[in-house]
Amino acid sequence: MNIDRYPEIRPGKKVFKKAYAFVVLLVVGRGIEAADRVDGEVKDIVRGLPEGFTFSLGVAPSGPWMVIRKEKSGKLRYLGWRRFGKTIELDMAIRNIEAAFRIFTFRESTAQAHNNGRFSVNGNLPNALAIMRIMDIAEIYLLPKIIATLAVKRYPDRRELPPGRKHFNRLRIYLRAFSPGLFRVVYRNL
Amino acid sequence: MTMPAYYDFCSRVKTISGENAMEKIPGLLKGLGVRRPMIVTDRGVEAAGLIDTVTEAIDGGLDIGAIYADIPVDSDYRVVDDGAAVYQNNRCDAIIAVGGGSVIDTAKGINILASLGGKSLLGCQGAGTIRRKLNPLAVLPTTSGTGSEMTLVAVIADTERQEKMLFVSHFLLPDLAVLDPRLTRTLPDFLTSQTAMDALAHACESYYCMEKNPVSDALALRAISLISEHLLPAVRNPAETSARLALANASAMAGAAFSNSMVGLVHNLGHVVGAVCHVPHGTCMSILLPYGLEYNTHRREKAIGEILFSLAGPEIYAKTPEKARPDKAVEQIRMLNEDLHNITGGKHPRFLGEIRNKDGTPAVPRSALPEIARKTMADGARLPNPEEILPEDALMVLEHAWAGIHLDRSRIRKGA
Amino acid sequence: MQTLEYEFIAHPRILYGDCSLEEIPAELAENDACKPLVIASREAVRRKLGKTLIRAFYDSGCIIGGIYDEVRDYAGISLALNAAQLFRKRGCDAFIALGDRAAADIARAANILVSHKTDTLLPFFNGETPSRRLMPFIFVPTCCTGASAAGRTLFIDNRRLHSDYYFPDVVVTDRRMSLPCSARCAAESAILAMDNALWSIIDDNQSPMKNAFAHAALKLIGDNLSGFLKRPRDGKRALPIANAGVLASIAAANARPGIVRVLGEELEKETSIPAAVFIANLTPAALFCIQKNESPLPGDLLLAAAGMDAYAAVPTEQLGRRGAEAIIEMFESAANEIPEAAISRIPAHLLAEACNNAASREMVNFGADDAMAVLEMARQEMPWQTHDNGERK
Ligand SMILES: [Fe+2]
Repeated sequence: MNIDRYPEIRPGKKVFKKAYAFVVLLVVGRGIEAADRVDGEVKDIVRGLPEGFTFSLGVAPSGPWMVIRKEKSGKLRYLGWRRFGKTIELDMAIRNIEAAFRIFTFRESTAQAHNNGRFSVNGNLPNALAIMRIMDIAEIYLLPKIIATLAVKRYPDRRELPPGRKHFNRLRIYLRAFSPGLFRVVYRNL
Repeated sequence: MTMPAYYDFCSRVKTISGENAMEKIPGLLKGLGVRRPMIVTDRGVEAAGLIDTVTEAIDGGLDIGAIYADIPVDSDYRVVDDGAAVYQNNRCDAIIAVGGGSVIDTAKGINILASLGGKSLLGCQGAGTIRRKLNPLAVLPTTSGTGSEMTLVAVIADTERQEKMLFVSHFLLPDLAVLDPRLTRTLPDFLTSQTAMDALAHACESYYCMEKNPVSDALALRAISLISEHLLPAVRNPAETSARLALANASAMAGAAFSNSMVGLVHNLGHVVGAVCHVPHGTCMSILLPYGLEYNTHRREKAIGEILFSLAGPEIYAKTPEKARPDKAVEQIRMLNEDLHNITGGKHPRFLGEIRNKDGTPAVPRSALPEIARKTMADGARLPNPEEILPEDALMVLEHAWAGIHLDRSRIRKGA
Repeated sequence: MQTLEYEFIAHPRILYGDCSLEEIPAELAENDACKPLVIASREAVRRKLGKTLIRAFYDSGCIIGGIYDEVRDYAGISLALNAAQLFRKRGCDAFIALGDRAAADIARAANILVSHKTDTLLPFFNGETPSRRLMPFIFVPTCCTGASAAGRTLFIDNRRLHSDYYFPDVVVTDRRMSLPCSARCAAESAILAMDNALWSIIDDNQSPMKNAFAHAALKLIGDNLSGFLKRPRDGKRALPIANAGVLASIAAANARPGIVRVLGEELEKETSIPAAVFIANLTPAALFCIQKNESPLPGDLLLAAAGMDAYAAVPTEQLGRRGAEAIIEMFESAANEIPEAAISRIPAHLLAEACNNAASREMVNFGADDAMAVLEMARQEMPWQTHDNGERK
């Protein structure tokens, strides 16, 4: 048998989807950092996390990633997309880029994705659950309602989250997320 | 039924059921290349004479390398380390676990350590540690409830750090689950009733939670019918072999269903009530199960209505108009609890406020509810529940379950 | 009251639906593997399914050791030997079968050869059981799988080997792969899946777990069949049917082979007409024979095929018959897509031979005369209809 008729295959890369995931992760990362300075529930949850707690969210096995740490000040800080040289206590990875793309294009809600086993979580479970709740809240603020309802299990009604507060907080989060700090962190990661 | 856009299902446990199921163990284990199994159990099971029954049944076929019976009620990783040392010193090559949920979890832990090598389970943590087949593990459940014989998780306590180590891997699915009525013969009636309600909760929750799929659905419905048909006879008369075998089957099928479709509100609240107030898992399940159905009806009306078919039979199902089926299912479960309460002479509780400690004080004081509600956020079972559960929601449900009243549906937050 | 004396195993992990193909690399990683050998049928590669599979491996870090695409419809040992050789030379660590039953069987056989470091299957034909530590084996059925490829049988060089270790570890049903290639293929797969599910439920081993799998399969087919036959390549219907095929084959792996299936396979061997054609034709007759012998058909059939509401509306004593009617209706609608079996035109000696061969197969619980009775019944004008109370069209 001539084995050269059946060559070895090195699969390629999905450049566009990775780039898209990269941008989404950047926005989510900055959004979470901002939400921690604006929303009361997020502040409460963060208070329960240990100091120096570092977690990453991304796409297995080859990225992109985002890394967030709880600083000495007790606030979350988005550290960028490099995992190298950081001790990561909680690692949440979407199992493949295609699943990540589905989630980031809201064809599969984050809740459903967790239930479908699209995430592999490595680390302490209560902390992982806390982060997931923070991400839900961040999504509610960052996304318009019509999209956020696809992403979270229950989109809060006006009793649960009064519209005035929602819009005010949303504005503050957007201003913070896209403030000059964004350029600083991008610059530092390059 | 609407087909989910995606699902995965895995339950690769060989199940043997029957009144002589244990006699088949030697043949099947030999087929897996086993020569010297170690029996893992606890003192209670041993004292009930079950280990004698087991060794008698597998006598001659296998050379038993060791019997490790030192598993305490609150097992932790040191027990696992200890057990694995016994395993290695006696050159065993497989484990036969005989017991309830805690024994089975510990046995899974021992199997990890004994198969992968090493001195302590602490060194086996982290995703991706278990990446190959472990040594053969046969599980002989002595309660019909936890379904651990069909699950791929092992929860081992780390008492020093006050944490729970969670091991999840398809390689943790046992190779063999043995369902033999002789194993549950000595279980007292109120434990039969509560563990069976745990199994019922697994089946119902897997039927309405977010990962429901055609296979887990079919398993769950069968488990529900078996329980509703056989639970009362088995509790009334422990000598009823066929009823006990049916419950063991139901528990295993419910285990396979929820291991794949997961559990929701009932377990979410139940786990925390159990941990905070030291109430047995089955007790919490019996009490909370109706609330799981009530809380999720607006999201899963059809599915919860279908539970009635298995719970009450086709006649009652046909007589009940479609809109009323979910409530009828809830009512059936409440009736079942009431019946079990009466048969066990009040040992099967109906609401949280009713549970008593050994000294007669309330086990779940009303003042503990806010703390419980807060801690539900740290329990994984909140994720698969179809409706979001935040601490305020949990507290609302707990207050109802504490007093034993129907859930006030107007207080369920349904979102925008 | 059912007896609960049984053994049951459903080894394969079932991955179904959106993005399930992309799960394969992670699945391999969980098994400590990263370089699979793909064993594909010619047909699958011709339809560019190999390319789709490679795309699912993008960004995964895995290398595909090669795509061995020599498999046509016959599984022979020489192909398995070649595949095993390729596997060793490339240093692969897992098998992926892409295609139909033959591709899966070559992968099974090659897996034994490499895992046991041998060049012959002879000891296994003589009763040796394979070891527990085979290489991970993932099966991606395309179409025309014969509906039993996910089971525990290795069918090679016309011989059958049975072992729990022949189950695939993972079966992937994905829209990009598992749609039928033609209307004919669609009808045949539906018929074979229904047959597997039907006879698993009728089987005398009443394991509730096996019945649950069969039930799920039959229910999926019942819900989707009519739409599926109209538009076989519409994923909304076709994918659940493909999934039903997987579930039914797992159920069937835990039951005795049904009389119709065995007879159909033997008739296929005699006449080269596909077994599904015979199965569609013989099923009503076989069900009628069972009823004639007054062995009640399980009510489960109706529940699975027609759903809870239909089941609850039928009085207990009619459950068996109405279930059979529902099933027969399903078979008939699928049979419209394939040619008539015309059993009357097959020479009598071939029929007799097929009956004898069927009765001498392993694990069957019927005799040649039972098989003959079914054939006789099928030759008559459909007797079932004389039994009808007019409700059926
Ligand atoms: Fe439970």
